[in-house]
Amino acid sequence: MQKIIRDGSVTEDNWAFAADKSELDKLGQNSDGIFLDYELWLEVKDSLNPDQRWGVTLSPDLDPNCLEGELQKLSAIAVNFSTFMDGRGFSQARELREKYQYSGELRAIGDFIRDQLFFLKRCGVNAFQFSNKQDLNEALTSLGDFSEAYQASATDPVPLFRRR
Amino acid sequence: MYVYDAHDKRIINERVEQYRGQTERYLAGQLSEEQFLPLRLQNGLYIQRLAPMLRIAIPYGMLSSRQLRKLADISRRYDKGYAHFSTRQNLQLNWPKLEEVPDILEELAEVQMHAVQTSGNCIRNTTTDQFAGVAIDELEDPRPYCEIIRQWSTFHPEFAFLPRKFKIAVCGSEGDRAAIYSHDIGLELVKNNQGKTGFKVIVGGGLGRTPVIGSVVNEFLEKQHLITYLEAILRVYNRHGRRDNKYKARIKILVRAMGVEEFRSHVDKEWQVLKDGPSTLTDAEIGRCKAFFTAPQYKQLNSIDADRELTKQAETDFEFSNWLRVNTREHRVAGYRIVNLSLKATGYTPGDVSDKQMEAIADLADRYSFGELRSTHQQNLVLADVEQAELYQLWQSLKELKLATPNLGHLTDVICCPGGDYCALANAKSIPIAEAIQAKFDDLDYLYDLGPLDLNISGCMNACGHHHIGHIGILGVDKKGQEFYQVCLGGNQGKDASIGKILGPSFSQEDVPEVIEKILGTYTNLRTAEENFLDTYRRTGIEPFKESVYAKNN
Repeated sequence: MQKIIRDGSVTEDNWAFAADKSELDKLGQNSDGIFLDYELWLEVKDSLNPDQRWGVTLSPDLDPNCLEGELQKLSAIAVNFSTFMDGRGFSQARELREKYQYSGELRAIGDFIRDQLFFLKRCGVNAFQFSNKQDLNEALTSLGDFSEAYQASATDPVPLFRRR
Repeated sequence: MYVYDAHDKRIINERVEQYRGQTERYLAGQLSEEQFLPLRLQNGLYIQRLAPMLRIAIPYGMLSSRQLRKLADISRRYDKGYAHFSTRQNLQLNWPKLEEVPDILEELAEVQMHAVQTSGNCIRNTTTDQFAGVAIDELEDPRPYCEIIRQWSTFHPEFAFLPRKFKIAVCGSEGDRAAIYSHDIGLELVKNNQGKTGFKVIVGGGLGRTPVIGSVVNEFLEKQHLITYLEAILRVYNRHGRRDNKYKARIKILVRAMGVEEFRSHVDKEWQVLKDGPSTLTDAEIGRCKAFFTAPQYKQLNSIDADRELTKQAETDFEFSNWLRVNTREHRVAGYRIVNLSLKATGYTPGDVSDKQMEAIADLADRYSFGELRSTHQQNLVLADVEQAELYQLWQSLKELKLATPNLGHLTDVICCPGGDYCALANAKSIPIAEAIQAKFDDLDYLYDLGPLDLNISGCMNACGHHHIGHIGILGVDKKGQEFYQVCLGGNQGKDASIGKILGPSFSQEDVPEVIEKILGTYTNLRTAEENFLDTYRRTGIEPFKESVYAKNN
């Protein structure tokens, strides 16, 4: 169990991260859903229990097209930040939403910081699982850093210049 | 000039509050150095050798007199009473206190200024021709598009953590005064065979450790596609740019590695998804932005009378005639002239202005040029719309302010980075080199005889002085802990851009002025009647210059 931010509020979360195949049954009994690393998911995707909820963890180097055609089976996708300075996750998230119309949960994990929340949200990330001891209620305020933005994004498809 | 509406104001005010909160958390130990770094860089704050440095944005070089007065005031109250114009049209304060920066940003916001994204791995200030709107060779005013790009790139959520910095420049005229072939993206307004105006898109130019001339990725992009196409390029860069090596992380490396063809096809693939989407520019938006850059209330002036009067004044005052010829430029409107303010007086740091000078310039802008001025990437200023009849009076004021050195585009109009005196990255001091050269070559007759000459000085490989595209470039290097200087020749900005070639082994600080003298001597010996320095160099190659500089003395 962990606390995360999801859809703008702090909430309990019971998703698990599977390190390998052998854990899947055990984790399945106690969790709301299981995230699999992409390589593991590739291996087992055709034999997964359809009553369980599944997610994939994307490393920064992966092109979201690697999930093309399978997105409807995924309740969640975790965008993994190996370092908060590596901004590839922002493009991954945005493409999943806009190019592939992914409508499940997009969760930021790994090394991202509170001050990136507003941008992540605009790129379509709707859940945030911090890996450090971040006070989540304080982090929530960063979600509201700006009330207006210039350019179109995953959450605001119409840019300001069309709304002025 | 662009004027903020309620949306723009809200966005910039919220940014100030965001940064204030981040500064407070950092000072309270809640943000580590590593975490605070990109946050403060994207608000313009560098930590330097002696003090923090704040880089204030001057979007595409446009400033109002009101803004300049505020800058003067800020430099006086928060700094040491002077500021420095950079090679990307921005303004730098050298001594702000970290804890006072949120207050500075709040005051800047009062006059619609900011330090947004002037540093960090994000899209930086979009720069352009300092004569935009008034140049006689202009096809179309680039400034509305610069403003469109500025808004699109400001707090772009997808591109705030790029592999490295990203710089865009726009050119709207025959001559390229924006160095578009030396930018990550250069945009050139062009006309196609059907008479339609669009953009030639150039990608992957840059200076620094690996200087490269940009490649044309799209010969003609229709205007409405500007934003979606830029997004496609940035997305390809964000996803594929190298992140393993800071010195190989710019888009120029990616374009080189992929080759232009493959790079272009990646961009096209991304673009297919974005093209014709909501970010497609509307005529309404282009029209809205153009409306901020309409012509001021020019008088209907008789240019024949004005020319005659001017000629008379020039004939009676030799000093004035030099300045008129060298520091002013033809204006597209009859009876007007473009005036360049030289920030390159001998004995003063190139590009620096004092608070008093700034306030005086603001007054001059109000009096002579509709209250506006521009900064140039050659670290000078421009009063773009001066009536010919007022030039003489203006010149006298400028002379008193030491802003009338008649050296524009000549040897002593040096482009010079802050260098080792200020910058933590520098290998060597650059300012003393500039000053020594300006002092040695202060004879105007000699300067004019040499003709147009770009001398660029950088204190290190980061090339903030753009030494690669100087006709003569000087690069500070560290040789066994000592400051030495490497000279390169034959660089050029503009549409026939070139990268300078290294002359040979480096020189000590004391030797540099003499080396320059030998180079100039070689040029004057070898040139034909019409050749300027670059012409001669391109004809003769580097050998004769090498020989004269490195020849053993008897």
